[in-house]
Order: sequence, then structure tokens, then C-alpha cells
Amino acid sequence: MALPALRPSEHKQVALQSALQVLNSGEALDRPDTPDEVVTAVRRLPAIEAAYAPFPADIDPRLRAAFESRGITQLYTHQAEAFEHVLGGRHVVITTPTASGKTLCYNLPVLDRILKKPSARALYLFPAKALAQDQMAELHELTRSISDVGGDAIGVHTYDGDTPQDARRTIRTRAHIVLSNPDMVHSGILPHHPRWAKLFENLDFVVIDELHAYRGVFGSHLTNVLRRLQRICRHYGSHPQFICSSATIANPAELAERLAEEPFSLVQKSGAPSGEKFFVFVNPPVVNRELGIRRSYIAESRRVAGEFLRRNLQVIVFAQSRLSTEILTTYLKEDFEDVPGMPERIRGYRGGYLPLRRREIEKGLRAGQVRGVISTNALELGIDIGALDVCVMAGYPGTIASTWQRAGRAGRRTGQSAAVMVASSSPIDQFVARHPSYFFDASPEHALVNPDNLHILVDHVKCAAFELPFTTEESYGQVNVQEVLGVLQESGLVHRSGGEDAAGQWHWTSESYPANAVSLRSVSSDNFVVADHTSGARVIAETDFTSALSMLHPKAIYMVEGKIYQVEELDFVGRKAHVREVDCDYYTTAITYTKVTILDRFAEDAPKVALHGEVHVVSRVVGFKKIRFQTNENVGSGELDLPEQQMHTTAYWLEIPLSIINALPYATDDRRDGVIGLAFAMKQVAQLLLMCDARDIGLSVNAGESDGDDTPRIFLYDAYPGGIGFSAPLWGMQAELLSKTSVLVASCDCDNGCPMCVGPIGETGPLAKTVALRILEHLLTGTQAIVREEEVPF
Amino acid sequence: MATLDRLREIVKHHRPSAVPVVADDVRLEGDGFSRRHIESAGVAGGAEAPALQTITTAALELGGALVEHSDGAVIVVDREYRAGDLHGRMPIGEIVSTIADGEDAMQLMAKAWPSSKGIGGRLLFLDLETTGLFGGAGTQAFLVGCASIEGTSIRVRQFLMPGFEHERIVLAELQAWANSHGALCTYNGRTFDVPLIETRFMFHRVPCPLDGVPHLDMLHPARRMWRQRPLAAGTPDPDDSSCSLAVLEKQLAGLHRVGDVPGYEIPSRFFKFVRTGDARPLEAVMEHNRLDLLSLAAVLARAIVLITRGPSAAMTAQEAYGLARVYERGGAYENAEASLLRTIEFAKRVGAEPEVHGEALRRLAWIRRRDRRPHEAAQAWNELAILPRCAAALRREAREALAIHHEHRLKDLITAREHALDLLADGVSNRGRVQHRLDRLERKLARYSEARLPLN
Repeated sequence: MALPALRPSEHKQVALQSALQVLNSGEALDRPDTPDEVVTAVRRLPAIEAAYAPFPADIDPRLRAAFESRGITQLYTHQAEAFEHVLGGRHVVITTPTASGKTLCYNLPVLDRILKKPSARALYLFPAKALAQDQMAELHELTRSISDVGGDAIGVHTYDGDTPQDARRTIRTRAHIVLSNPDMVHSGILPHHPRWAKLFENLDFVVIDELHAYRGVFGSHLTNVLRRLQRICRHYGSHPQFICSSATIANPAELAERLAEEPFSLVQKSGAPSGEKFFVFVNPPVVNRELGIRRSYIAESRRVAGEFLRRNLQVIVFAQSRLSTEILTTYLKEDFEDVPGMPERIRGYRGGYLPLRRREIEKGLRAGQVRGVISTNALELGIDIGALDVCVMAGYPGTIASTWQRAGRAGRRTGQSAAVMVASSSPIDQFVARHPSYFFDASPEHALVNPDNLHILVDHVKCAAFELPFTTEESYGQVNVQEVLGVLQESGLVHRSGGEDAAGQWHWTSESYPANAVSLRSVSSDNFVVADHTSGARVIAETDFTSALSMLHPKAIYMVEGKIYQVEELDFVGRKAHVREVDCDYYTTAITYTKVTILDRFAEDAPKVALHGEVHVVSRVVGFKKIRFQTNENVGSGELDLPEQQMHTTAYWLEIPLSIINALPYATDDRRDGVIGLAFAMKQVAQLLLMCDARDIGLSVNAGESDGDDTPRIFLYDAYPGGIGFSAPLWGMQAELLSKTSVLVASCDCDNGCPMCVGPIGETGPLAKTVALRILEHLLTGTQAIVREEEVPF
Repeated sequence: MATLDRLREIVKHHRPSAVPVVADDVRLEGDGFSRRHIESAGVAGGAEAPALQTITTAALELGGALVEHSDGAVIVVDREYRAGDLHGRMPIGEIVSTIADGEDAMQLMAKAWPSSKGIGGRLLFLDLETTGLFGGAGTQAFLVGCASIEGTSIRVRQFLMPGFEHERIVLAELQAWANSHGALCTYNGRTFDVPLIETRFMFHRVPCPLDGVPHLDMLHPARRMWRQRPLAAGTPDPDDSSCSLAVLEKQLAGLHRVGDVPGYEIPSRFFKFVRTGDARPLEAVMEHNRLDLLSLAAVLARAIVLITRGPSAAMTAQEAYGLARVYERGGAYENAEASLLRTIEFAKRVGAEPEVHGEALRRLAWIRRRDRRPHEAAQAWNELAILPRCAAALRREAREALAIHHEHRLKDLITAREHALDLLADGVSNRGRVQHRLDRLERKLARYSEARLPLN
């Protein structure tokens, strides 16, 4: 919104076109998809004209004058629409593309209210501190313009872990707009609400930016933080209105409603203009068909980025991990050596860099001195880096939503831009690269949360009881909170006062400060710290309890910021892993034995093939494999003797009827391989459908060898104690899950299975792919799934 | 698994609190006659708050009375300590008379202290016992201990919250007391007690009566006067516990507590009372609080004696030095200088306190410099520079000051150069600055010798 877009010069367009031509081997840019070629798709997304609306009539004249003094004389339609909703007292969620002037959607009504009612307060929540800093800079400019045209001074302050102690008191009473993050609200603001009385008494707005970031564990925690916030607001007599903004996801209103537990109006038609964009899918060529090995996608990304950089276009490259970020940065710095004395043209960017360095890179990008930046998802959120010419994604970002979000980092409001996705050899990447329509035509994913996960909920009930006694009539979330409080009383954490019959209260009766023990980024506060003993001892990382054994077992390779460490000792009782820096060419993956027992079946009446419910998962890390970097070959293994981990969670599972299994014309072992291969492929697709990370769901196969019940079962369980809300939706999407799995396996190039479909050959048997397809065939005809709509190549 | 069992499982595995919790079998005096204990059976079997009957019994057991209001009640325990009573070896009467005449000394110790006469009589000593140490909305003061001077006695009045729902009443009582007193005296109240009380009033959305009340937090003057020094170079700097009220009362008043309740046990004793209605574990907490209040008065009295009688009343180098710091902060530089001289005298006599000796010389030099007596300041620096076993940082500071003094005031470039060279040899951290001085001195000396000017 701030600056009028620059009209890109003619030669920039020529450069872009020519680079695209080279990538596309000289073919026309408008062409049908070609799943088997290196460039599987080139799509041209036409430019979109701006749709404007006048400033609403009831807007404060000083605010309008301030905007006009900055050259803004009208709004985009979505900004005006959002304003009307807020004025009408409705909670609103805005979901429009990157760089469409989303922040104005909330700044406009908030500033308007503060000008009309100076006692009004607003709390802005950002998922990361840097975003709050960016937003503060933008708001400061706006408030300066407002005072220039004679408006009152409006206090805007960030409040986070970095806020100096002596500034805090002033912020608590004076700031009209407090920019913070959920973690700070959870541990620093809510537990001290009496000191924030002025804010809570007058809290008119809660703004939640980057709403889509709050899914899974983080989102489940956020709902609870907002429940606590709303309790405190009721205590002080305020009823804040929520204004949320989100990247494009399938269910923005539903997510907002799950998080704030209020009804929302949705604004999703953007009035912002955008320039023409080319979207290209690149699948590195196959180098070994037998083993299904393709050329390294890192090398391919280097080549692609090089084509654009060479033509002096500004490029952002998104890598999948910190390690690949560093590797690509090194490669591209080699290709585009800096001129001594001149600013660096190629920079890396990721979490772990010091804030000062990051600000410097962001500035360099805006000013155009930095020509290429290689980043983890750290730059995916709305940090201001200006608009670049080209976005190269080294690997599919994992979700449709985040792919669009990243692609949005390139492209101005006018002129041309390009986004290139280079597929890795993971099954998901292959699926997307070979089925461009899945990406271009499908709706993005659903963001899922489970705020009533008992582990998470109990932690927040403790925090809430500390903040304000619960009454014996009070409810909280979807569970019976009185029952929860009763159990907390058994442990002496709360005490019920006021007698049996009268309305009483539950008081916190522990000297601890419960928020300190709860991290919003994990389910349970129990965690392991990683201590590096290379020179002295220092803590370099921490990891949650659930993943500790598989990541930090003895001899495991653990990586932080591109450095490689080996675990020397795992102190299970002391929750500590002792590591030392090593120089080696492999990493490790744990071999985990998992057994799932069904505790409770939901949706029993539905067809019996797929079910979901509560399960008990016992897992044990029994060994590990050493995998060489680059080639991914297995170069060794080891056995481990570690304690068992148990977890109560939710799961989706597939029960393959024995009638199908027994009818398969294959040997018992081959049938087992088929089930295992099918499970491997299903997990990949489930990840795709659920918009989650690989570690968010666990896989366990009972391939029919267990006692008594021979029915093979494939369990896809929530990898968090108590479940995080994936199972029921996955069950709901089960037809899609099976048909997409079928497409993934059937369309894979390999002969007998590979890491891109049913798993690497050698780990699954020679017939795994064939058998898996046969089982799917039976299942799909049996459940008359909607496979017909899908085009199945071959 | 039933939800209730799962909940129990989850709650049981919550991260253990860092704070130790009082064991269930806290030994009680007496036969423990039948008392209702709460069955832990969740909501249904429900825990009842101590009924009126129970809290009346509790009040009697603690030697107090239950004061009922329309919307709650408070247990008030009143104790009078007469002039002849002893606190450790200090007679209460002596503490009272010292405080009553201690206006000037208090003014010296506190910022923004009212100058009116008779402030000692309107002083409110305040000490809280709380449900936790972390602050925040869930930390409450379950016991507000107040003390004030009445005639020749000290009256201690404690307000104990008989249950969480009675907090407003406790606060109202405190409000009444605060309004009838003119100033506040605490130990660490600036960072703990007063902010906590403020938060409680804010929680109930009532203006805090302690806002703007003059406040003398004895922690800071006490640290200046009595904090333990490291015995020898290399021993770690003592933490604040060396200046805790418990340490001071032993040292200054000779008080040795018997059967005192450890601080970490206090919250859980209160929680136990709330759960069971059994007030007996709280008796030790009440006594602990009363002794704290008396010790606070004793510490104040001792500080007043020192300040009023001046350096001659100091018994150790440390005390004399702390006294000097108090005078200096209060702007009484003459007294500060006298106290420093007394400190040095002690240090020389005992000969075993080079740290205090060195710091006293340093302060002395600064005070004299501030008073525009540079030559006397230089004398102090000189003594410091040659003080045996003196901390290196102090010695370097002295040498640098001497180098400056000789270069700019005395124009004795050769001595200035000697000091600068000594400084370099002493392993000074900021070599650049010293080297710069040395270079300039050399240039000046060269110029003097070229001009064949006499070298002072």
C-alpha cells in the first residue's frame, strides 16, 4: 500500500521471457501439461485489474486526510468491505493474496475507532516477533501522518520478550495498540492482567495476522489462549471484536471460528491488482529408472535460479531445510561471485541468523542490492522484503496454501513475474509435479486444530485458574471443565471455596506460575535439551519429549544450523542429550517399532473399511540406519536399547477385509509387502491432504500377523498425545485419500516400487507396488469411491 | 479409558513444580483431635471451605479473633511487645525510642521522605506472607503483617485471610491501617510486597492505598551497611542472602530463632489450612511473620543509631563504610568523609580488610575531588595505589587518577609518566587509552626538553 508500484522496464520483461524460454526448451509458454517431461507445466496467470471503492462515509476525517496526505485517495474493494463488517460489529476474517493491502483492512477500522474514542485499545497478535516490528514501522508512519493533519497522538508499541523492563509500565497504560505474539500474551500478559487493567477494560479489537499459521499444535494452543483472554475481558467488562487476516486456505472462516469461538464474516474477494505471472513446474530428469532416482533437485534449483539471476532478475529461492538453504547459498555464491568492495549479491536467510543480520538482508532486498536470497520458510510470512521478480521453490513446500504464499513473494502489482517449483523425489513432490491440476485447480488445504486436546486444555485450565478463579458454573471449551478442576483439586492444584450448595469458586493453590511450564509450540511441556560438549558445555537446542527418542538416541546425527553433531549420551531421566560436533557424510534415521491398540471406535455404523477413534500407541526405537548425504544410500546401521514410549491419541485406520486379501493371487509375504507399500503411499497422501508435516502423523501397519485377528490394518495416527485433530477430517476425506493414493502409485514411473510411491525397493518386496494397486482397486470398487473424476494416466 | 482416568493420568504427569511442597505429615503439636479432612473425590465429594465455625476455631487457635464483615471475614491477631520485652538482646523500649527520634536518619535513608516531626510514631511496618514468589494475578497475600509504635510499645497486628473469598476484607483492613499511618517501612518491599499489594488492589479494581505513601525499604541501606564482603580475593561475591533479614537479626540483635518455619514451606501450610481448616500449621507462620516485623524495626533502629551517632558508633570497618555510603547518598558529604576515615582507621587497626580499606580510600578520593580538594584527593589515591593486597581494579583506577592529577593539575609530567607506565605494567584492560596518554606525555616531555624548559 505504501509506495506506488514501479513500472518495470521493458528489458526486465524481455529478460524474464527469455529465461522462461530457456527453461522450457524454447517451447511456447502457453501449452498443455506434460507429466513425463522435465518441465511438466507452464501456466500463465493473467493480470488482474484493480477494483476500487471510495473511503467509507463514516470514516474519521482526520484519518482520511492522513491517508490522502500519503497519496491514498481510495480503497481496494476488500478493504472497504472489511471496514463495513467491523463497523457493523461483526468479527471478520480477510483472506486475500500476498501484497494485497491486507494490513490496511485492520489498521483502518482500528485507527478510526481510536481517533473517535481515544480510550479504545487494540491488541495485535503476530506469530513471529519480526512481523510485529515490521507492522510497528508501518503503523508509526501512519500515526505520524495522522498527527501531521492534527489528529491526536496514537501510542503504538511492541510488547515481547525484548521489551525493556522500564518501558513496560508505560506500554501497559499508554499504548493504544499493543503488538505482541501469542506466547507473550500467554506467559507475560494474561498472568499479569491486573497490571493491564486499562487495556482489558477498553479492549475493542483483537487483530490476528497470519491466521493460517495457527494450525495443529500452535493453533490448538491459541484457541485456549484466546479463551483465557476472553475470560479476562469479561472480568473487565469488554467484548473485543476480532479482525483476522489469513493467507489463502480452504477454511479461513472455520479456522477463525475454531480459534476465537465466535461467528465470523469472511472477506475473500480481493480488489488489489496483480501483474501477469508464469507458474512453472520442473521435475528433474530421471537418471536411474530402475531405482527411480532423479537428478538432485538442489542442483536443478541451482540451474533454474541461475537462469534468472544471470539476466539480472531479483530472485528468492525457498529451500526445504536449513541445511539445503546453506548448500544452495554456497552454490549460488560460487556461480555469482561478488565484486570485492561491493555489497554481497547473494545472501542466505533463515531462523538462527541474528536479527541484525536479517534486518540488513531484508533492507538489501528492498533496495535491490541483494539480487538473490535463499531462504527457509522464514521469509514466507509477511516480512517486508519488497516484491521480487522470480520465486524458485527447491522442493514442493508441502501445501497448496504455502506454495501460493511463497509464489506471492515474486510479482508486483503490474508487470510480469515467475514462480518455479522444482520437485524433489519425495512422493508428494512427484505427485504434484506430475499432476499439475491437483495444484492449480484444487482448493487449498484445511487448517485443522484440536483445542480440546486434553493435554493442551488441562495446561490452559491451570493457567486460567491462576489468572482468575473459576466459578462453579463456568464452562470452558467443549469439555466439562468442572470435572477437570475436580481432578486438579485431587492433586492439590486448585481448591474449591464457597461450600457445596452455594456458587463457589476454584482457586489456584500452588506456589508455581503455571504459564512458565507451558510452551505454545508443543503439546506437553516435557522436553529434552541438547547440550553440545565440543568446547565446554552449552545448550544448543531442545526437542519435545515425543520426538526425542527418535532424534536423540545414542549415536544419532543431529543437525543445527548446518552443523553436524553426534549424540554421545542420552540421559533419559535428566532429559538431556549430550552431543559433540562431528564431521561425517551421513545422517541417521531411527527404526521405530510401533504397536497400536484400538481403544474406542467412532462412526461404527459407517462402512467398516475405514474407521477412526482413540488408540493407544506403544513405540520403541529399536535401531537406526545411516544414510549418506546426497546419494541417500544406506551405509550402515545399529541396534539400540531404549525405553518404550506410550501415547494415547486419535487415529484413522483402514481395515482391509480378509476377503480381499485372501482373494489376491499372491504369496503371503507378497500380500504383506503390498499392505506395507500401500501404507507408505497413504501416509504421503494423508500429509498432502492434512496440510501437515511428516512428523505430525505416525504410521503403523498391522499387516495381518497378530494373534487372533488377522485383518490387516493401516493406522495413521496423530503423533501428539491426545491427538491434534487430524483423524476425524482424514476419515472424512477417505475417498479422496484412497483415490489420490491410487493415482500416486499407478502413475509412478518405476517398475516395482520406489521412494516416490510405495517405498524404496529393498525395503518393500518386489511385488509391493503391484499388490498395493490390486488392493486399492478392490477397495475403490468396494467403496465406490469417486475415482472416476480423477484422470489416471496410463 | 474413561475421561476422568485420562485426566488423572495427564495431571499426574504434569511437570513437577520447582518449589518443594510441604509433606503431608507435617508434625503437629498436641494430640490432633478429630478434625475433618477432605476426601479427595473430585467435585461430587467436594471440598468445603472452612465453615464459619471452623474459622472461628482457627482464629482462637492462633490467639486472635474473627472479625466478620457483611461480605466476609478476617482473622485478626494482635500482639503488644512492651518496652521491657527483648528482641534477641535488644529491648523493645530502646528500639521504640530510637525510631521515635530517628526522623533525620530516616530522611537520609529514604527518598522523598516527609520532614514532619513524629513520623516514627506514624510508621507502618509491613511484611506479607504470600501464596507464591512469582507474582502475577494468581499470587495472593494470605497474611498481611503490620506493626507500629504505640507509646513505648510495638503493636503487631496480623490479618489472616481465612479463605480465598475473603481477600477483599483483608485488603480493606490494610487500607484502614495504611490510611491512619503516614509512611511505610519494609524489607525488600519496593520490589516484592508493595507491587504485590498493588496488584491485589488492581485485581479487585480498587485504588491502592499505598500509592504515593512515603516508603523506606530497609533492604538497600542494610545492604550498604551490612552486606558481607568476600573474605579473600577469589571467593565469589556473596549473594543477597548474606544480607537477608535472618542474617541481620542474628548479627545485629543477637536473635536466634527456634523452630522457625522455612520460607519455602509457607505457601503450602496456608493451602493446607484452606483445604482442611486446620490452623495449627499456620501458628509457626504467624510467629515467623511477627519476628520478621520486629527484626525489621530492630534493623531500622540500629541504622538510626549509626547514622545519628555518626562514625564513632560503627563497630566494624564494614559498618563504618556502609554508613559512609548512606551519608553520601543522602548528600551528607562531611559525615561521609568522617565515616570513611573511620573505616580506614578500623581497617588499618585490624589490617585484614583490604577490600573495604581500598574502597573507602576510593570513595574518599572521589568525595574530596567533588569537594574541590584535589590535593587531598590525590593523597587518598596515593594511599590506595600502594595499598597492599588491594583489588587490582581499584589500584589501576588510583594510578590513572594520579596520572591525570600529575599531568594536568601539578604539571609534573615525569611522575605522571611513572604512573602511566605502572598502569601499563599492571595489565590494565584499556591499554589504548593509557598508551594514548603516554604518547601525549612523551610528546609534551620532548617539547619541554627541546625548549629546555625546566621540568617543574
